Amino acid sequence: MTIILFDGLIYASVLAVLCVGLSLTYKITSVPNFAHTSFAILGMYMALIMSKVIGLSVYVALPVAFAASGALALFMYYGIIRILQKKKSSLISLIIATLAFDMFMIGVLNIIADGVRNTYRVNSRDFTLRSLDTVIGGDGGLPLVFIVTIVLLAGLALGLYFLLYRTSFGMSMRGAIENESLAQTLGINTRTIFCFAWFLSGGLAGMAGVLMAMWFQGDPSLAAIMLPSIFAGSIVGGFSSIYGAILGGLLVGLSEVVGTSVLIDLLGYWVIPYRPVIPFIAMIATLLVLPGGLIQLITKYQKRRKTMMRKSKEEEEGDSVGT
Amino acid sequence: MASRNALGSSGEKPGAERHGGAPLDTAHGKTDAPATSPAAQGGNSNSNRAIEIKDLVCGYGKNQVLHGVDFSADLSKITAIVGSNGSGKSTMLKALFGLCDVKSGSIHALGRDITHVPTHSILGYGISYMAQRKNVFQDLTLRENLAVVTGLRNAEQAMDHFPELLPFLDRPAVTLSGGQRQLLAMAMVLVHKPRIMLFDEPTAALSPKNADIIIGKIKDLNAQHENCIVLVEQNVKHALRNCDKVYLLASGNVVYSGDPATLLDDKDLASKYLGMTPQ
Ligand SMILES: Nc1ncnc2c1ncn2[C@@H]1O[C@H](COP(=O)(O)OP(=O)(O)OP(=O)(O)O)[C@@H](O)[C@H]1O
Ligand SMILES: [Mg+2]
Repeated sequence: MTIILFDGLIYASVLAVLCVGLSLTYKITSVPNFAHTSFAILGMYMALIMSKVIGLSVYVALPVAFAASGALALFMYYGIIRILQKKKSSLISLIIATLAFDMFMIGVLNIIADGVRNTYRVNSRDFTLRSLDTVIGGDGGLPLVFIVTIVLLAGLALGLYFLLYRTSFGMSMRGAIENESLAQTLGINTRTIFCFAWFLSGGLAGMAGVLMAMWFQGDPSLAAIMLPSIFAGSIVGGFSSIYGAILGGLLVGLSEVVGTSVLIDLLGYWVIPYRPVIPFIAMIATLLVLPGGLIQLITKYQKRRKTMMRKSKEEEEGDSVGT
Repeated sequence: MASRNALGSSGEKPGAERHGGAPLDTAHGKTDAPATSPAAQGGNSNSNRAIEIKDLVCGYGKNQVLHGVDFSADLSKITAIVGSNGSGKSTMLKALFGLCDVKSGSIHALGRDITHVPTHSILGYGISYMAQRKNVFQDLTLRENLAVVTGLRNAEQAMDHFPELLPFLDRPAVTLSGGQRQLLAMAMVLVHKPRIMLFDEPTAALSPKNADIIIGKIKDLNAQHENCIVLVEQNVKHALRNCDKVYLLASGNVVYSGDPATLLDDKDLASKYLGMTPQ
């Protein structure tokens, strides 16, 4: 039971971090990035190299993966997406470009995997670094990666809120996302802001990859396997909302893990390969029933509450004037 | 597309026959000195010169909108640009701010070449621009809108000249009325105390009273700070009453530039381009 709890929460949090990145770049570039998972897989291999090849703590891999995957995302934006957008390429060609970059990266990641195995005699496929992690309270205790994952997600949610709503840089960022040319006429270098956001998005994915490899297994094929889950999370949340992405990622992640284990109990082990059906169902159901995602529901509810509060306030004021 | 072509042909023909840009300018005693090199503009010929556009050809991608336009505006003056819908008024201001593709020609501001300066750097040359539409960030509150230009601490201070907006400080800009929105856009544009200010139809869709408030603010600015104001206006009478110099655009060409009173006297031009019936 506890193992399912750890599985579910770690997977869901990692997914949520990835969804945030995907939604952030979508908000900025208006292109769904099909290569987003490759940033995470690069992070996984950074973890493998840092720990098994160089012999450092896996946690050292977190900042390293952040930098490496961030740089990769920056390259993708600056070297590919931005150039195509300047040429006024259509959305379809941009999407195909991200798919092409994904294929390219799968090739690169396989080369890295084979290179590590052949040079250092380290298992680099379906590897896990779980044994390297510290467990707090001995056997059966709390794995450190669990705490780190939860803290990363919570920190990300708080940090993004602080950045976007409490600093003028964040306000410029929101402004630049809403209306790029207005932001530019007001003297904001939108290119810097967008590069920053892509770097952040890639870097976060890299860290998520490290954490993935520390609890689950790492493999280049995960790039394709995880992609539907991440898109499902972002779509369930409401594709261009960052807080929606956190919610959607958590929800899809948890229902994937918990749902699969419930189905195993009910139907038997043969259901395991059908696990990816769960995010697909979530995605399709959202698109059919609630195209704006969870965040649409929430903002609707908030608005209703606000108007109700305003009304009752006005009534109160009316009363006090009356008496 | 069809209407644009119709506009183009009806505007261009008379221009070619009678009112070619340059001959008309001299006919009306245009005040611009015939400066030959950009260097000459900064110093000796006219030290008050704020903007100097020479033979500007620009547009959007393949769609050419301005076909070789000359334009100049001076400090402590209000220069108006008038013309019918689609004549290229907004495009002229956008060209100044690097928001459309300049194919040839040059743009100087306060003696410096800004033809190929990226948009976000233009503000640093002492020029600000208030767009015709979408000139505030809708999703941001008023305070956040101002913070984008001033930083968080000085946001409230930027409202000093716009006390009418203070009650809405923490509301999203999307909830403002049209007039309030224009005021907010003005507040944002004025923060950096620019020497040159470009206003694209600041009074569009406003009630006469609000329009007067906005125009009043613009005139105050001009009187107090001796800066250069370029005003694009749909309301010709409004524009001509308040400006020192006027440019009349038709299909991407200047068909008149000079004194506003003279333009009104020219019954031909006034009826053809401004829709004023000769009395
Ligand atoms: N972003 C754009 N892309 C392509 N063409 C454009 C764009 N903006 C304007 N145009 C075209 O350029 C021409 C001039 O437009 P502009 O906005 O400068 O006119 P305007 O004089 O400001 O008109 P209005 O009085 O309606 O504001 C029009 O024919 C218009 O179709
Ligand atoms: Mg216009």
